[in-house]
Amino acid sequence: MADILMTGLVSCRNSDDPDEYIFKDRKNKFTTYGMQTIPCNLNILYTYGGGAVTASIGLCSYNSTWNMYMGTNTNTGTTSGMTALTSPIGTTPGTVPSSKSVATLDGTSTGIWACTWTAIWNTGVISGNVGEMALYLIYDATTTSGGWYYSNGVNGTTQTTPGMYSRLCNADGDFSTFAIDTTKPVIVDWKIQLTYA
Amino acid sequence: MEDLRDIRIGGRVTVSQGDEILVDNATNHIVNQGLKGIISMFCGNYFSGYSTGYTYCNRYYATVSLGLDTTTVTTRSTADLVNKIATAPNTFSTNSPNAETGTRWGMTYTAIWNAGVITSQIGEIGLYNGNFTNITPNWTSQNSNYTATLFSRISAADGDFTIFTPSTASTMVVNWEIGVNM
Repeated sequence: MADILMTGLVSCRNSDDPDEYIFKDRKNKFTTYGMQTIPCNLNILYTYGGGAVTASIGLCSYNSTWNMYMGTNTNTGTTSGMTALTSPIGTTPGTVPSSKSVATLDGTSTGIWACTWTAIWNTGVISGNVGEMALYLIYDATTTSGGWYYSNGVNGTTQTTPGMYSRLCNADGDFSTFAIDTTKPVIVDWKIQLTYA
Repeated sequence: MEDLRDIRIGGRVTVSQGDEILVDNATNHIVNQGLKGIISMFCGNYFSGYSTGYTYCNRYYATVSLGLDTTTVTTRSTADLVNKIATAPNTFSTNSPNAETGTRWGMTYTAIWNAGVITSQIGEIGLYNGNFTNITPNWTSQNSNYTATLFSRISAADGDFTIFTPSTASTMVVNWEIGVNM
């Protein structure tokens, strides 16, 4: 029981059959946003309205603005400094899912903790040959020494910008490219899991 | 070469008095409360302060505590030091979260006890944090403070260091680095 292993596991379906996967539990690669958000969030002190107002700090799943996108690139591997898909499907940063949801796994008894983001593109919403996909979460890059807070005296929320937290791609051998069957929905489960190494 | 697939979150602890190293880069044990706090960050929506209300959390409650126990190993469910010394550090600070190598992000918590303040034999040391506690997806909170709960621990019982009694002649410094490594 020493270090904690953080792993991103991605499963993808393009079917109405819940058991028919294109691939399952493939390990993503994390970017800098995925690394820095944890210590930067640990560095938060407080929020304070400062009047008849509400001052808020957004977390990774803020206001359902987290997202997933798909792209067509097949030859660019993921690096830590990447901030976007190489060739997104649709207008940058990509075609948004039709619906999204979040689930968690309580690891109190097992030591396996997880958060899973699920995105569904309804039939015909997205098309193309998929070579890359990405999870966008609200990231924290605030590096104030001694902690940071939000107290602006007016209604507002800080930390609301999603950034590419992790990526899965054909170029890294994560999955084989596939052409989306536009007669069926596309469903992606993206799980970030914490376990004892 | 950076391994972007398996990120390791770990803590390294050094305790010193002047030139003497009492604990040398020991690996800490992050407990369930710490992991729950991180998952809470992932699944959370927002937290807020309304009007004159605050929501104090993570760093606000961060501190390092010392303890006497020498026989109890750390488990995932360890929720507190076993035999905590009530004396808080005389000073406590954190540096700026930083990218140390481009593939490692970390933050160091530094606790200092003045000379002569701690005279007991030390067998356990804990890092506390105002850990988030809610893992309900899209949780929100307003004007609801968190409390200081154990994030990670090192102990003589785990073999992390040999029990020691601080000299009363000089300050004792604990540097606790939480790092996220590719």
